[in-house]
Amino acid sequence: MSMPDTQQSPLVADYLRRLDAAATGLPADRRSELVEGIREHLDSALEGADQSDDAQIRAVLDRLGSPEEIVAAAADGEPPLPQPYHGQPKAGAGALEIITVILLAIGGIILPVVGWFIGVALLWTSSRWTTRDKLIGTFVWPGGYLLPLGLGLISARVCTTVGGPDPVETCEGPGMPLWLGLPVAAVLFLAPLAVVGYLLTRARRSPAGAP
Amino acid sequence: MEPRGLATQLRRGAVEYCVLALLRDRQRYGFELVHELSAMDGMVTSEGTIYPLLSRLRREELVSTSWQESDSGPPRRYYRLTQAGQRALDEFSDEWARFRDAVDHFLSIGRPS
Repeated sequence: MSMPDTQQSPLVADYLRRLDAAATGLPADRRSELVEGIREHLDSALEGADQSDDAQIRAVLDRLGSPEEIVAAAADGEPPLPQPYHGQPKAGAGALEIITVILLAIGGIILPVVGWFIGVALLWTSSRWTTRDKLIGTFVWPGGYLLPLGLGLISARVCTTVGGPDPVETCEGPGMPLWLGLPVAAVLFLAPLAVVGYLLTRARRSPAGAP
Repeated sequence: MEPRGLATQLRRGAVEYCVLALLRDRQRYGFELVHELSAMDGMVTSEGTIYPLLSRLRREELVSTSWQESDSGPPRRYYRLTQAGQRALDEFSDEWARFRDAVDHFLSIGRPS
């Protein structure tokens, strides 16, 4: 049993205790300001009242509202937690996002050309990515690995070396010199990979996070 | 119990200006403000929620506070309108008049007069 002080009804003491407990989430100065304000209110409202008149005290407390309600009003308008205004409730790249990214990268090879378009359709219907992400995913490297593969086949350089003491190499096809071929091959290989990495990173970030 | 519905939405945002208006003529203490607001039907459902509102007005420097002795009991926190509070109140008064007229206009359309 709690000991009520001589001036205060146990009902009032209990109410103030509940208020103080409910307000633990508020900054310390705001919490004490709130509890003191309500205490002062009760002092004024019950001035001259019979401290054993529970009905009257209950009526005053009822008009105040519940401690939880008052604390909720105190927390209102403050953003203690980031509010998820938009986006999916779940965080992280789900199966659908991973399938989308795979199709964008190699869908055009698995299901020639069409596979990539399916990936694009999934990309644009997903709410996980922003419009900017979707534009990057679509236009930075259209076709994914279809283009490098196609270029590789077209520009394949077939070389034959005729042996002997003085070997002669003859090549056919629109090949390119090594100094140009290596960087081009690197870009062709890395660019779709970069888009895949970018989209997965963007999908993984929490929807409640910064836009 | 009052639903957190239409009336709550309407009150939200307007109550604080009613508090500022009550301080236009003189300073008042918390219970006095709550008492005046509660006297008008439909303005306050839970009196306790006025205190967080007063705290916010103080932090936004629309009101200033001071402790003053009371005839009975401990000192009371008095609230007084600041110049910024006066300006905010004037702006709201103009805006409210325009808003009220506009809503009245639409609500009266098609209604038998």
